[in-house]
Amino acid sequence: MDNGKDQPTIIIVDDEEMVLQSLNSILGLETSYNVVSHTSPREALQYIESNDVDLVISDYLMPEMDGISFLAKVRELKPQIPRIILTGYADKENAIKAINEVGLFQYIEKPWDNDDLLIIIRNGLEKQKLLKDLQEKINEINGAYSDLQKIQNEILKTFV
Amino acid sequence: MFSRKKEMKLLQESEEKYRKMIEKAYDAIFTVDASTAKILEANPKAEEITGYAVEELVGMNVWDVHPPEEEGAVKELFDRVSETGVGECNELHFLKKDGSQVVVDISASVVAYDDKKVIQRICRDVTSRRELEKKNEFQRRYYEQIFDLVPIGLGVKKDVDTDPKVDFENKMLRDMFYGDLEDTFHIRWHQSPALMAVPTKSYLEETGAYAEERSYPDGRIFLFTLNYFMNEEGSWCEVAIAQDITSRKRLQEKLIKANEELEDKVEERTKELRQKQAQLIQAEKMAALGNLVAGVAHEINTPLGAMISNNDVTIRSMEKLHGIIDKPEVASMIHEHEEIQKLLECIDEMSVVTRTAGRRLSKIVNSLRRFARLDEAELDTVNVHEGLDSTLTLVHHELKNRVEVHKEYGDIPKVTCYPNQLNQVYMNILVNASQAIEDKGDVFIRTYQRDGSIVIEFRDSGRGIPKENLKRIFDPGFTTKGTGVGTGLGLSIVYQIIEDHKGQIEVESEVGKGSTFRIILPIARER
Ligand SMILES: Nc1ncnc2c1ncn2[C@@H]1O[C@H](COP(=O)(O)OP(=O)(O)OP(=O)(O)O)[C@@H](O)[C@H]1O
Ligand SMILES: [Mg+2]
Repeated sequence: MDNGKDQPTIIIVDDEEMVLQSLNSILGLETSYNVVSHTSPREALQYIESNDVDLVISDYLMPEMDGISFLAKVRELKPQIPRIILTGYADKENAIKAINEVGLFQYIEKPWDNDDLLIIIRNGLEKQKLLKDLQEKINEINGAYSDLQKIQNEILKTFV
Repeated sequence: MFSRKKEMKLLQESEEKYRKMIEKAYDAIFTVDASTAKILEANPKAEEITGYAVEELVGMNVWDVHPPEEEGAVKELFDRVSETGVGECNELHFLKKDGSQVVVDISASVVAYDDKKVIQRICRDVTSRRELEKKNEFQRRYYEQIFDLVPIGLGVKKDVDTDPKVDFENKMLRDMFYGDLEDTFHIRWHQSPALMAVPTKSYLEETGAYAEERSYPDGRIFLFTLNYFMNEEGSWCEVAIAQDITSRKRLQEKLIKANEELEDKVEERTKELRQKQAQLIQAEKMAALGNLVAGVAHEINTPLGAMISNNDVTIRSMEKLHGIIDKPEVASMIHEHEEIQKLLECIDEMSVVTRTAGRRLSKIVNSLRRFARLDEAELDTVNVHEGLDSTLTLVHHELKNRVEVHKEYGDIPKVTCYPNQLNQVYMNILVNASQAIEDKGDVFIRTYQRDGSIVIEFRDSGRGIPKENLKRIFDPGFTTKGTGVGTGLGLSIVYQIIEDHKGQIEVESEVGKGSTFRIILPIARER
């Protein structure tokens, strides 16, 4: 994935290596996203803080920190990143509750269907991209507005 | 001549003898002129009881020695004797010379005397005897009065072994038997319906008394105690003591009934308690199972997820691989290596099998989860058929190859219920059915609507339930399976759950043919 410069970056977090490998394989096979996997939520947070990230997928039950708290921290750091939780059936109810509380993009149930997984990720990224574009447009407009203001000021100055 | 003389002498002698007899007689004897009623002669005893001397008595009218008010009676007796020749009268009095009176019994008869017709009156002074009799009478009345106050019936019969006669009855006894009863009842204590045979001597020597309860047609019940003794005249007497124990009996009956009711109630409560206990045990078991299952489901789902995903990756990779090797230049090369072709096919087939296996596994985990879910212990409106199916998935291992399940699901509305509880019901009934089938058999599951209810029917071809057990199968703890196999709680829990759902359960069974359990649930459930 050398030419992944303009490809989105996805972070996956699960304490189970086997899940990480599976997700890596399917994403590797079907997409050209940059996939960064972590078994430790803490390390993942550090990575997110200092890198550009487009989407985060996290397991729910992890010994170090549960998925909801982890994703809540992600929101604090970078609120615009779409967050997806991966749940075992047992904690579905909690996960759904958390979606509303912590503002998750989606949840995926284990065992998951790869097609569903790919669609959810693609949608998440699209939303992220739209938001990003929107932000850029806003920034552009803001920039244009301040340029305009500058020009106005200069004109005023010239006249006064 | 001589004989005449002798005759005279003999006559004189007998006259003398007669006179002496009269003089010494214990009774007063008067000779009275039958036509004038005047006293002709009187003996010394007459002097004694009248207080008059013979000289005074002779020439008196017979009634002159009686008080004036008895004159009529005396005259009447005199007339009767004159006419008929004999007569008697008791309880007359002599008015003595000193004015006192004595009681006399009089008997009189006409005799010929010196060619004259005279009446001989024999008068006996019975004053002291009458007094004794009166005293006896007083005494008897005294005791009778005492006995009348005794609040139990008391009676004495005489001559019970020959000709029974009532000798005495106290007031209580009289009230008991003659009181407000109509005569037609003819109830007298000595006409007791169960009149016992006269006891033998040996019986009396052994027991002395006899007691029995007697019921009378008017509904009263008496306790009789009979004692026997032989009185001084040598007559067998029966002393009966009778107590009206009707109210005591009724009370006793009431007590017995109340007792029985109490016992019934206790039994019922015990049954209820056992049922509740069984339910609690089951609820606890289900809670534990729920936790276990939740944990297990999570534990399984993670590796299962990886496995299913990996298999999917394999399938996708193979598709891509096929895309490559189907290119003509590669295809020809592969063609030469039959081995490669075979291996590729093998991988394809295996991944399809793995996919099926994975789906099955996740279905089982889901069923388990759904069956034992704790968070679904809430009312929900669900499809009965889904519950049946997920339960069937779970008992699959118990049934497969042995019991064929035939589903005949009808068109029924959803029901509002506690879904996991209903699943337990299906589970218990299905396991019982499976256990009732010895070798191979069938279970038919039918659902349909009937009179505003839905019916879920389980019919098995098992050994059936004997009639005598049919009533008990819902009792907690009732099992015909050996210890360790059955706890006997299954159906009692079923019953309780169905009751909680305001439903009913019906059972039909025939030994050797099979059993049918029918669950009837109301469609509209008010909350
Ligand atoms: N389908 C059936 N066919 C024949 N007998 C049955 C059937 N269902 C129940 N019974 C009889 O009713 C008894 C009580 O059943 P229940 O389910 O309450 O207890 P169990 O099956 O003996 O024990 P457990 O359910 O705790 O394993 C059984 O022991 C059995 O004799
Ligand atoms: Mg049973």
